Amino acid sequence: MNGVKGLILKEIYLRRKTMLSGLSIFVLLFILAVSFCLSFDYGNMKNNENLNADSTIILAYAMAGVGIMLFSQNGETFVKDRKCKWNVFEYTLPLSPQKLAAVKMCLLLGSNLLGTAVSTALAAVIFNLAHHRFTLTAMANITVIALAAFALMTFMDFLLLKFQDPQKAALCFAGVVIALYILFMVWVWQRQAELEAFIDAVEASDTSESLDMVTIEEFIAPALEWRDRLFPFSILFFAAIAVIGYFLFLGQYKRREK
Amino acid sequence: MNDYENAIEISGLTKRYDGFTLDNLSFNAAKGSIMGFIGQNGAGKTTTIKAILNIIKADEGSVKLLGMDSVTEEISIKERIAAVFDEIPFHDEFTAKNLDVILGDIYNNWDKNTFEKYLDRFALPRKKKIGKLSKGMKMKLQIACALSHGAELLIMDEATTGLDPVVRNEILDIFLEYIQDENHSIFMSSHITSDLEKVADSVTFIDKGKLLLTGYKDDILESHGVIKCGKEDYKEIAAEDIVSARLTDFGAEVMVSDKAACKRKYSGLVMDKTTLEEIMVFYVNSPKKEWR
Repeated sequence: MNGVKGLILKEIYLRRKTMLSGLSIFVLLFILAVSFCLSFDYGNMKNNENLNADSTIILAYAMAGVGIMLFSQNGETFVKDRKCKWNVFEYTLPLSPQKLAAVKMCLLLGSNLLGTAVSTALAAVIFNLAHHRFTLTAMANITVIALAAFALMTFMDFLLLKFQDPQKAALCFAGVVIALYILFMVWVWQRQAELEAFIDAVEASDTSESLDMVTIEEFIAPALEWRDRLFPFSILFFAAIAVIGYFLFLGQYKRREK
Repeated sequence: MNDYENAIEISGLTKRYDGFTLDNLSFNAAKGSIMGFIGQNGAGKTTTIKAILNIIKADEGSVKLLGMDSVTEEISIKERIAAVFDEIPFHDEFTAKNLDVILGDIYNNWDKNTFEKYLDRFALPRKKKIGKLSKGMKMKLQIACALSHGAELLIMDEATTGLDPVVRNEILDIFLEYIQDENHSIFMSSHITSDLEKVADSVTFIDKGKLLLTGYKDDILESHGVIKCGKEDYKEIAAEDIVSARLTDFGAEVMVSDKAACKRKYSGLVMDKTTLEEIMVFYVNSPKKEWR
């Protein structure tokens, strides 16, 4: 395991300041969410008819998402490595591509899990202050956020290694995210059109039954069902992303400079 | 530890880029010696070193370091060699202490005491950030790291470039000390030929990706000379004896590669000793034959 500790320490030395800044932002968000919760019981939100403590639940999830992303940043060290040419020096060290890829993936997974653990703990506090039970559903939601963040960060790091250029990597990443969003919206519009056609057909027929209005839950319901089914296997999804990510990183670490 | 004769063996090394080709380089650097790798800017020195270190993949040819193939036995080799670059490849926020911890875990044979000894010798602060060190101190720190894991071969790419004469001298003295161990070898690229004249045992000249000359430094210096003559005398010198000639308003300075033979042949002409720098300049201009 020679070199693993050295590489991890190198990352920690480099990310110390950023992690502290990220933690400070995270703590501020937590304080904001706590203040928001408390204002519903003791503050100026007490008699607000338009908002209730449920709004803080969304804030708790947002805080969790931000926390996980802040902990998972690897791109910063990539830029620093290239600035001082540590990445070239690394070729002269007795470190195999397998070791480099494994350390990178372990750091990414470890920081994601750490971020998830901290975010979950603090989100549980917010939930309690908002007089909500922190149920398995809440944990499942945070796990989904963590999985999504892990997948996105793994993909981003792969792009950084592939293009060796943060701007190209960011453009490609944005392009893929936009493409996925467009695909999702196409699916939404298609589904919407199917439902509208169904509603028209039913209304045209001579029936006294009325239909419930279509709500956004029509689209979210299947996703939530899958979330509840797959949550017990979430560790397998983390492992699958980690394995795929490791092999993607390995392919890049085996490459040489042009 | 394996037994080997040459610290570096390069055979047919070729690397192609648009507009530049490292073309079929072959030379050896003997164990226990310092080889100077000389060439002007853009000659291919760094490309060669990157190919030696497997930073870039050669298109053709083979490289052996310490008697082992540089590709198939890469990790074993890298435990036993060290590379020093012209710019320190360590992050500004690191300190010498951080490097001790990081490299101490990476190298099996890292010797903390040796590292501390070099830090003391070079008067390098342990807790000062690298970004705040002078260029000379940064280079000394890089060399301290290179010498602290029992490396048998130091590969240096323009390590003394940009340093003041005092620091350069100090570093060259370290190299001479290092080479006292007959198992240690140094391969250093430079265009500062005066440094190589001081310390190198053998030299290899490269220009535009092609090998110009390789051999023992003293032999090369001894076999080459510069004839300084007038225009009339210059016409008498046979073309096959001339490496290249620098023409002046009054005559020519002609480099010859067989000084002894040319001394006999052109006994009436003044033959001066030469330097590695002059050899480099004259060989670089040899395609032109005559130049100003």
